[in-house]
Amino acid sequence: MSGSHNDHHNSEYDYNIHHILSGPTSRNVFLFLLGMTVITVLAAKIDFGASWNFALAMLIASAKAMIVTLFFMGLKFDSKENRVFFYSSFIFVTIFIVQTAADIFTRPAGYKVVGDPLKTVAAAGGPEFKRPWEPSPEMNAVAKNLYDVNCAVCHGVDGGGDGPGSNLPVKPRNYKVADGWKNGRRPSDVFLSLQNGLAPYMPAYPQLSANERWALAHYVLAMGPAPTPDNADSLKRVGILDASRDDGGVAKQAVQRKIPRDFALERYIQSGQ
Amino acid sequence: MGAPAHHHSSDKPQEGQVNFHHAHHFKNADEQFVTAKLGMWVFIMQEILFFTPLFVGYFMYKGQYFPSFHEAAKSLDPVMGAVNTVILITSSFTMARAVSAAQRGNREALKENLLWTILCAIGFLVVKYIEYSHKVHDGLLPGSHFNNAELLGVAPQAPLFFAFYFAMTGLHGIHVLVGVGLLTWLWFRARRGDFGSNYYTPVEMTGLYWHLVDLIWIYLFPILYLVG
Repeated sequence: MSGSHNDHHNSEYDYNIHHILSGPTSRNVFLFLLGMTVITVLAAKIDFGASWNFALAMLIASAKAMIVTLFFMGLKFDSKENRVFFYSSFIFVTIFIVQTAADIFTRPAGYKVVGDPLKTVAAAGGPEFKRPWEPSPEMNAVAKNLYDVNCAVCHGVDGGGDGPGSNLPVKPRNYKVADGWKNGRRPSDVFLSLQNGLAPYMPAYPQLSANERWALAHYVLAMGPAPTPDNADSLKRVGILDASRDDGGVAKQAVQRKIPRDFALERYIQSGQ
Repeated sequence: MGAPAHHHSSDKPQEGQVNFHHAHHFKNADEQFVTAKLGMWVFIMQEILFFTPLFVGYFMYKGQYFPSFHEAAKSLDPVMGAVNTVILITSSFTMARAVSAAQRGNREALKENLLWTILCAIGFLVVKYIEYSHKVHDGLLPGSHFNNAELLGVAPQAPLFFAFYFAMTGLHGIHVLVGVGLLTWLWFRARRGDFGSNYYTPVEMTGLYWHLVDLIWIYLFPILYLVG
C-alpha cells in the first residue's frame, strides 16, 4: 500500500483494508484469464466424451473464477469473514447441484421425469370391449365423449386439425386427409401415438385405459379415408398375440394398480405419526 | 456507502484526496468502508444464489433431454461467445485498474479505465444483440414462441433449451446493462472530483459487482457454448 493516508487507522484491523492491486499483478491475472479461455475453447474441440469435456470445462471455469475472486475481487487480501462468506455460497451451490443430480440421475429407467411412470402404462379400469382392435358401435359412443374432452381442442370437433388450440408451429393432425401420418394409419399406430405421445406437441395419454385408446384410434381414423388394416405383426407390437381370440391371446395388458390418492395420502400422514 | 458529505472539516484534503467525512454513526471512515464492503459481499452472495437455480434447472433438464439439448446448443455460435468472454475479461482488468487508480487518487487514470470498462460493456451488449437477432430470425425463441420446425424435428425439447438460454443470458445481460449505468454514474462522479485516495467506496463496490458479472459469464460461456 503506497502513499495511503489511512495507515494510522489500520491498526484496528488484522488485514490491510485498502490493499491496492499492483499493475503487474493485474496484468498477470488478465493474461492468465485469456490463456485459460483459449485452453477451454481448444479443450472443447477435443472429444473426451461428453462427461469429461464437461468436467474439464467446469474445472477450467472454476480456476478462472478462483483467480478473479482472489485478485480482481481482492478476497486474498480481504478479511477472513468476507472470504468465508463468499466461498461458503459456492459450497451451498455445490450442495444444491450435487443433491439434485444425486436424485435425478440415480432414478431407475422410466422414472426419470416426474409423472413419466404413468406414461408407460395404461390406466386401470375403463370400459370392457371384446376384440377392441376392431371398431364397434359401443366403442364409437365411448370415443366421442373422450374425443370432445381430450382431442377436439387442438384437432377440431370434426377432426380437421383446426381446433382453437391448433395455432402451433407444427400443426395438429388433420384426420380428414390420409397423407403425412408420422406413425402410419393402422389402428395400432394411432393406439401407440396415444400411448407414447408424438413430439413435439402431442402429449401421451396415461389417464386413458387401453380400451379407451383403441376406441379413440378407430374414432379418429373413421374421420378420414379408410385406414390401413392391422396385421398379425403390427398387433403384436401392442401386445395382441392372437387376434382370432376375444382376449387377444394374452393375459390382460399389464396395468399399473393405482392406489386412490386420498387413501395413499392418509396412509402417508398416518405413517408419520 | 454514503455520498461524500462536504462538511466543514478542519483536516484540509491532501494531494489526491477529497473532502470526505464519514457518517456520524461510524467510528471512522475505515469502519464505514469495511461495513459497506461487508454489505456488498452479502449482496454478491445473494446474486450467486439467485443465478444458481437457473444453472441447476439447466443441468437437470439437460440430463433428461440430453440429445435435444445437445442438438439445440449447436445453434449457438462459440466464436461470438468467445469474443464476449475476452471482452468481459478485458473489462474486468480495466475495472481493477480503475479501482487501483481511485485508491491512489489518480483521477485521470480512474476516468480513463472507467471509460474502457464502459466501452467493453457496450461491446458485450452489441455482440449479444447480434446473437439474439439471429436467434429471433431463426425462430429459436423460448417455449411456445419457438418457430423452427427443422430443429424441432431433431430436437423436440429445443424450446426448453432456448427458454434456459434466454433466461440465463438475459438475466446476465440485464446485469451488464445495470453495470453500464453504474459505470457511467461513476465516470460523471469521477469527473466532478468526488473520489480520492481517502474516499473511493462506490468505485470499489461497483468493481466487485462488475467482477461478479464477469464471474457468472465465466461459467455461462462453457456451459452453453462449448460443452452443450
